[in-house]
Amino acid sequence: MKEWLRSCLAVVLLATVSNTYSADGRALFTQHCSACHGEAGAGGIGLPLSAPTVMHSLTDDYLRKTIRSGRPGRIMPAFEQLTAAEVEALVHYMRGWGEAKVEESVLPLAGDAVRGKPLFEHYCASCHGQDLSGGEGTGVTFSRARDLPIMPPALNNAGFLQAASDGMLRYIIQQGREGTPMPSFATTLNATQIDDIIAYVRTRESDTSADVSPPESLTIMYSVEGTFDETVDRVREAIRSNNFRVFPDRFVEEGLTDEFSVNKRQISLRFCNFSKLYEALKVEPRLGVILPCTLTVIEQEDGSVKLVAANVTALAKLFNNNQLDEVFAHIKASYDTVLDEVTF
Amino acid sequence: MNRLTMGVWGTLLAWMLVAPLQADEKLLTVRSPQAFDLALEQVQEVLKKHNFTVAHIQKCDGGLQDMGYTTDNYKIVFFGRLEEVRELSKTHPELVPLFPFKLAVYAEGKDTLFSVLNPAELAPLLNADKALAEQLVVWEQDFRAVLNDMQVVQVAHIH
Repeated sequence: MKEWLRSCLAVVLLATVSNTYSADGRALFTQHCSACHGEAGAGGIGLPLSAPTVMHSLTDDYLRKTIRSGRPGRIMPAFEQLTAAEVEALVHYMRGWGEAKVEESVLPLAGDAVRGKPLFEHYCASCHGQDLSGGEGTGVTFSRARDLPIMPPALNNAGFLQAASDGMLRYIIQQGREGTPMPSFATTLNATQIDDIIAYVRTRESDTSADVSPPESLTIMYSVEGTFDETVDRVREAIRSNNFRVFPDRFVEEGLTDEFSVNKRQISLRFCNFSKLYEALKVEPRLGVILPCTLTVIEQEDGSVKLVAANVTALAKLFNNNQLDEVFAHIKASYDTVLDEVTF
Repeated sequence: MNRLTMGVWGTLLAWMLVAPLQADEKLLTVRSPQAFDLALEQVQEVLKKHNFTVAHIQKCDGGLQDMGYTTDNYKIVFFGRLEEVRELSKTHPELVPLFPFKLAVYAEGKDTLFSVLNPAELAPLLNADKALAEQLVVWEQDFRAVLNDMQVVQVAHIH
């Protein structure tokens, strides 16, 4: 038995050591990061990390914490499942794009938040927002017109503030980031003023306490009075009367089988508000995974008719993007209006 | 227990201890350096290879442009398997809004991105029973395989 235990322990140790040293930063970056940050870190939904001035301003500790904790409410997920070795491999790989020029010191600076507030409002708020919530959207986009080539980050984000040291913030304000909209304030603001701004930013961390409410069901099913055809007509009319662009109806099975075999007692009524869609895609390009707005009428084998809809509140939580809140609130109100007209 | 059995168990134990966990991702997204039209064509082939049928493709970009908005390529590929849709819409009609599945395909500069909901992550939101939870995991694996194939294609085109 002792021999067996020794064998197991040896295999475990061997595998652990092997895993630690075999973590391939480039492969990990491709697997976990490149979809948003670009294959070579050139940016996309996420920040262009490979821009040298970006890497100069980021400490290894900031990168580690950002990978681990992400950005609550700002698309960037928390990669809690990665091993320490994998995080180190990622940091090492990204460091190849530029050395850190910031001191790792995490000692807090002694700025005055009260003095910092007007300075922030004068010098920073035009890009980072009066509420420090950053630009509309994240990273860069090549697909839709935006106000800036790289969106200013949300400075009030808890993930950002917990990852960034005061020293790092001071460096970025002093040096700026060449090639991005972030200018250098080295000749505009003195050291005390910069420290005051940082102190003010530290006071504005947004509340990201975890949502402890039980998860809502992803879809909602309503029993409706009337026949299948009557219900389809009522839903279609309700959608039209609420000023949506209405797409042609589709059978749920349409396109999956031939027209003679398709179940014609399952119809999806599809609609869209293009103005809201355009606004939403600017802040969340992945939105297509739940498009278009759809209400489905189905007749079950017992002849009962159901109206099935996505639960917009539950859908909204899939994106880790609180910039969608307003759009989702609008969509929910629209769904509710249509559903009220049909189900009451 | 002979040494071979002990070795197998030891290796399995070691793998369980050190294997990286699958990411907790509600949306699955990958990037391909292929041009949009080529990538859109390719993904339809890859879906077919994984026994999915492409039901139709919605041109979001066309709709937006018709309404006067400027946008790069943005399409949604609707896909599924008839037997699964037919069976599950009977046993779990609450799933119907998910059918057919939606794969967002969108241009980002010279690259093309693909995003899809991760079915396995939806289990708690669907009050999934054991059978449905297993089906959702199977779909997740299938979707990951499709997306991985798009990345393999990407490597093939780089070299």
